[in-house]
Amino acid sequence: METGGGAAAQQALQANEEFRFEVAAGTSVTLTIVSGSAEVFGAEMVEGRAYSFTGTQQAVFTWSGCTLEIQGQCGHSYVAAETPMTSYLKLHGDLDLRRSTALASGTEGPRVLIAGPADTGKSSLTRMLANYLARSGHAGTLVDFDLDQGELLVPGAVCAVPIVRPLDIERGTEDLAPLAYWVGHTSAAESVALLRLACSSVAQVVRRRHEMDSASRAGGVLINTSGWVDGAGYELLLHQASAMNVDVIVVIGDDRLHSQLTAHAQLQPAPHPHVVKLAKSGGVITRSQPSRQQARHGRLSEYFYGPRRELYPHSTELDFGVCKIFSLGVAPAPPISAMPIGMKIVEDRIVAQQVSPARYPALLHSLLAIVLAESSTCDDLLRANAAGFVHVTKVDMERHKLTLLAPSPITLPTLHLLSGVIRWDGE
Amino acid sequence: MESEQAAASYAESLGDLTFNSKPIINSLTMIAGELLPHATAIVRTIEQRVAQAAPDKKLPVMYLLDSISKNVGGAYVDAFAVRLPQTIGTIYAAAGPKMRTSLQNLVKTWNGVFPLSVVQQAADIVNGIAPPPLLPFSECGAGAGAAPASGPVLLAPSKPNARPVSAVAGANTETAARKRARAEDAASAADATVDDLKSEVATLVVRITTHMKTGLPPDLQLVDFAARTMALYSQILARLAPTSADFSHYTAELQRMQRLHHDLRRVVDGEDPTTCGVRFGADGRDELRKHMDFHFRRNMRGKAGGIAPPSRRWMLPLNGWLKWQFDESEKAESNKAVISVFDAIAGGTEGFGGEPAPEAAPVPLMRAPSEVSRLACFQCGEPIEMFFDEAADDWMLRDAVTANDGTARICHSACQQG
Repeated sequence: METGGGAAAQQALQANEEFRFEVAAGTSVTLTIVSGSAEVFGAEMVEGRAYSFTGTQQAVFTWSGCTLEIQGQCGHSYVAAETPMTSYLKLHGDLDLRRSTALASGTEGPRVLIAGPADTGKSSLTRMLANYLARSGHAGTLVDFDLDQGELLVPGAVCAVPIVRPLDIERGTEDLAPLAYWVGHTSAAESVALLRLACSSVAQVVRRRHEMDSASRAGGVLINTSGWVDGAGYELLLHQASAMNVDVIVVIGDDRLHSQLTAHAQLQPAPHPHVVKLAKSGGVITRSQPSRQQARHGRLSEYFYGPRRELYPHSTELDFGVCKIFSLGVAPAPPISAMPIGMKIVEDRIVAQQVSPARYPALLHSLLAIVLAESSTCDDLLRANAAGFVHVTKVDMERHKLTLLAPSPITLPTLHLLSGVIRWDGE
Repeated sequence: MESEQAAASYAESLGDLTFNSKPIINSLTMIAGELLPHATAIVRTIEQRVAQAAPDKKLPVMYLLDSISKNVGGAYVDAFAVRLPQTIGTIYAAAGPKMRTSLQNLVKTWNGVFPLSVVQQAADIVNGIAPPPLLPFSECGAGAGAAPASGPVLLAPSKPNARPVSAVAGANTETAARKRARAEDAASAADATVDDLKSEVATLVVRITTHMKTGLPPDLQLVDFAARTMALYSQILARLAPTSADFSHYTAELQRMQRLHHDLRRVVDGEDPTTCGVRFGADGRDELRKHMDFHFRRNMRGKAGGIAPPSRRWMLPLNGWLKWQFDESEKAESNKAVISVFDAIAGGTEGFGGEPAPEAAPVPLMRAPSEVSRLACFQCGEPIEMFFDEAADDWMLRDAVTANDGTARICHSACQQG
């Protein structure tokens, strides 16, 4: 069903129906609930308020029926009557029960890892569960290990966000307080060692926070993962699960992965992690590489300018002399002949190498992370969380100046920057 | 119950209004606008405040009454009008000569705001012609709205306000006095013929179009006009046969006005402040208030007048994140790394328009000149740190003073020559 031009169209939804729509970048669609109630990925829409969407795929679900008013041109839209929402809500009900028990006894609430191949709706489910968590009056932590889309912050970083309120339907992530570790790649496969380290760091800090704060502890953790589930990706998933001390694993749309993880869980010391299988929602859209790339650029633009271009980033100029830019990489393995006999390299060692100013032109248009490292030793740099991200807009080799686009007008918190391979041409 | 909660929290906010402060009056007016469905309860709260406040603190509350009537209007005007002579009488009785002059000037501006007879009565009182009626305040009879119902899994919403003006008529918060006032309205409305209503609506439409043509930004008055026009259209429609040509014409006009009203509210209020989908339980009154304040501040950011350009903040350091607690209060809003000018400058009583005196400050701060984006000290050539102060709503220079050689040049306070 295509909606008409500029005129408002009405769309009635029966109970348990979902209105799915796509909005092309550059166009905007406004939705208003005229009557009834509905939610967008678990966040409740308020009757009578107009929500506008730009360049996105969304779904409005109603448990009890509603009438929507749609203004603007949807790319494609349809109503689906078959959704896995009941099973999603049932999962939430189980988790909620565990949270309430944990709150009463002061123990830790469920640590839920959501796994599945690419394009199965993992991040939508994570978002939904986080919104339900907040709507049930619990607090908790949302963790995103998916480098590719960076839905909570920017692509190329893993992050954890305390959840107290439902995520804003339109406004995005401006009001969140994320903790982020920089990886600098959008592909998990190209940065396994770094990603493992970053995930461990997040896990460690989240655990410390939960030790201090009983409300978040009882709420537990919701973890979104990347869609890489075979080979080294599977190993990575196991690493993430054990680092976060996961006790519920949700697998969407992959029976093989479910069986693998169930078998693995049985080998764990009791209590075994609980492995749940959920159906993939029919509304999930398969994204091509170019559309993923486009979405990443959209995320970066949102980081600096806000989803509705209401934020004002700040351009700042730095002398080559004052800043220290490092690149992260796996140290080259020492030759076998240099190792003691019988010794094997267990884990890749990661080193931070300072980028010499002569190579700064290569950084043009790339994203750098500002890390809150106390010193520029390799250990400090690798363990430091990020304070924010800057975009290199100009490298002036004659004046020895770097021009950076920073999100905030306040001076850069530190001058320790980490480079990556994420590029963006600005606007 | 919602009305009582709204009134109680409003009474608390009223406590801040102890001197004549435009920003406080403005913000209390905005809050009153948001609490429109509870107008009756809010009006009683304000009237009680006038009666109970110390004599020297009554006048600011009167200015608030004035501001709400003129900027929000609607149900507030009706509700204030019921007891306006008493209210004015209470304050006039306690006023000194200076305050009496202020009251006289105030009442002069009420023509066309309140019904003529009420303004006349008030004018007589403040001009000493009529004795102030000293009737006791009757008990506040705010109606009992049902408490928000709880769903089985998820908390029920509290949407105490955010109803357009026209919808207030059906609110279950009417007191006897309000009912009487409305009965009179209804009586006069019943007498009005369709032609009377049509001419009234035409006047309003002209005022709206005139305002729109000037290109001025929409204000609360315009929203009120649109709301009144909508109400009049509905009244006209009620008197017309559904088959007549006029009927379809006015139906279309009503829809057009509803859209306009909706758009205007979005522009004037930003997003609807209470309707972000966050629900509060029955005991969440304080949280709800904080949440509303948070929306209010966020909506004010980047608005005309306030030049605050909102930006994404730097993320918290590790220890800050570990201890991070959800807090929507003002304190949490401002970045703690930035010193507020009001912390630094003692005795800056000039208010928002005044220039604070930088020399008196422990950390000398001054407003940054508007035309520069970066600035170097004219003595040492080092850059002067520029930051955005949310409390002052302006860009500030840290540790900077103007040169004492009579020029407007700026230098570090340490570089200033004795």
